[in-house]
Amino acid sequence: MPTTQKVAEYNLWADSFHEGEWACRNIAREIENQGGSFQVQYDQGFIPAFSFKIDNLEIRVHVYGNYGSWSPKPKALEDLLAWGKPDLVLINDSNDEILIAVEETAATPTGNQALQRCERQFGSAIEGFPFWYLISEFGLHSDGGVRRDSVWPSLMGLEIMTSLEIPSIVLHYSDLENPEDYESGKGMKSLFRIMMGVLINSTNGAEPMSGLERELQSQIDEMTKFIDLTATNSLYFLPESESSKKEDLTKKLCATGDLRSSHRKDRENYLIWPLARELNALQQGEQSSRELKKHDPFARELENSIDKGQSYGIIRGSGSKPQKEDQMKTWISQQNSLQITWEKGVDSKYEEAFRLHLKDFPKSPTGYHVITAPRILYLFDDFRSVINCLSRSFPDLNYKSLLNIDSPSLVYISNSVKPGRIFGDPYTGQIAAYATSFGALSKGRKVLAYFPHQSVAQALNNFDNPSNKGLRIMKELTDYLVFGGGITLDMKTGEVL
Amino acid sequence: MKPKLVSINEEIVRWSFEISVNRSNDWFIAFTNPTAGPWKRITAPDNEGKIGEIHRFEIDETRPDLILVNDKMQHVLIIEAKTTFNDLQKPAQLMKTSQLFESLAIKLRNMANNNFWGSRSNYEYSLGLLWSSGDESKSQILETCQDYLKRIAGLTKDIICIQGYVENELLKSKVYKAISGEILKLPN
Repeated sequence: MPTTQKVAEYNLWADSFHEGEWACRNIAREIENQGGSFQVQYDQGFIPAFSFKIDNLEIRVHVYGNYGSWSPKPKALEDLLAWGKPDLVLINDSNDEILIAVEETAATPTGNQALQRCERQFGSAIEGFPFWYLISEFGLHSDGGVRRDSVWPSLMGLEIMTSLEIPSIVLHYSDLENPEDYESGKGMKSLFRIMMGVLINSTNGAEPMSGLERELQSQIDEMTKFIDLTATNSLYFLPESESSKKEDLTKKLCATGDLRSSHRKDRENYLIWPLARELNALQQGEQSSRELKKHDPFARELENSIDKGQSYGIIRGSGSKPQKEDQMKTWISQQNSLQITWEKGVDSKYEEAFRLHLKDFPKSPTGYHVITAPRILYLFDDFRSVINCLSRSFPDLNYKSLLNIDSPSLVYISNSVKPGRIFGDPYTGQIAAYATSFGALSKGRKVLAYFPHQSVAQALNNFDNPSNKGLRIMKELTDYLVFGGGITLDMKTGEVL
Repeated sequence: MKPKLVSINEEIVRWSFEISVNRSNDWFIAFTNPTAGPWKRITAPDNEGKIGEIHRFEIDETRPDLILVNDKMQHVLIIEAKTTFNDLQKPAQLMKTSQLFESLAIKLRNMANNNFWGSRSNYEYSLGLLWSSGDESKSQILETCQDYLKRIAGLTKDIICIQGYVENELLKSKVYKAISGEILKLPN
């Protein structure tokens, strides 16, 4: 006796039709591997309409390419797009719920590029949407060499999954012999097996990850292997994790049922980063203060804190790209103007607390250096030590109210001078990646970001502006922003200290 | 809920045109340049139908939007796509597209020894301009195409126009030679 056929409709939204159709054809390949079949036609002459048949299911997927060309869009999609446009978003047509968001890159991003998409990864997680990121592990560089992907998306993904119990998977394709080749490596096929599985489960009315435990476990295993292999390219060391954590993580993700998990009560970390006083002799041996590139009182205190054993630097290297004189003059003028306007409406204690002068920036043959501290991140054992550094650096301001906070902490520095730049690429991606990876989601560390060359006025003027992605990320992940002159903004209240 | 198309841009016109090309028996797409994804290579079939790589664009190398090939007519189209005709008229675009056409046409014409391109190096090479139809006039189109032709006169005799438009909620393309006005046997 024939079984009743179940039919369900889905919409695959995509940054471009090419990517949407490419994804559907790869899902079709997996469906055929499982004994199913597929057909495709083009509605209105151009909208791909796929029909996948497997067992007693008919799964229909329409592709809508180029987000801006369509209306109306589901509310959940609008919310997600506010964090940036993922390449693919699979949505159940019957209830407009997002099943999966996917980001994919054709090339291996290097340097700051690698961090740019971290804000989308974070945005998806914080909105409660499962996220898969398909990225080339090995990429060709213009110098002819081969580059490997950065550790940050994977590290961040593991921490998101552990803290928020929502999938944030990074999959790699390509290999050393075949850089940027989608068909090499495990990632691409694994992604489309998951997409197929989620479609089948949804059509059957089953839990999204039902029966996909092995695939998911394998994906998490690959992430941890990749982190183990590559972490020390970016970091001084990687703490060991308990081997049982991966299995526990998979179980939690699969048991959640609703992938849009709101279970955020057990905020844990996947990796436990040690305190400075817990570093072993080898790790301590790599920690000592360095010269500043440009004088800055707080940056000096941060470096000194390493010698005092209060903090350590975890990220290797920090380059300095000189900025052109005409640009610097414009930016400095804009920063000072913003600050002066702001000062007119506030307490006189802030008067002239922050002014930029071109002569303070070290000059090189190609422009002016803006780097202050020689590193971008400090992990402190105690928030009070950070506040003491601030108090010594800016003695005219009062930070006493922060001295009762008892927590390990993280200090991030961006030396950018251009107004508004700190709320965009790559800085918001950096904050998302670093704060998440070092425990901000689990509330394991207080996060303070320092912008020595930016006026506090920019943050205050935009504090409630929902389209400012940078501030939205900072509100989620940072506790305090310290601007030029040590003027500090409480990110929970929006008040200047 | 199924959404409705509210605006047409370059990508959508190009996509609908590509679908028409894929339905054609005579033309094939050797290269397409979407915003992301595994599409950075010019490919073509050899005599036995095996598809191989002709050229791989560097990440920051200027790329055309489409390359089409017709083996029967022995014709290669290198296409620049823009949302509006106005975008194609801009002097900087005119310069960029003409230079790209020149360098790519020369490169492909010098690939007689490539197993997958071979005799296609002797085909006719034309510049194609693809856009979404707006309020541009015939004389504007003709004038702009003559400007393009002046820059690449030694390489091609005419400019191929691919004008996307909506008719009864269907996206279609009108394909013709700009100077001679001849309607081409391209998918439309």
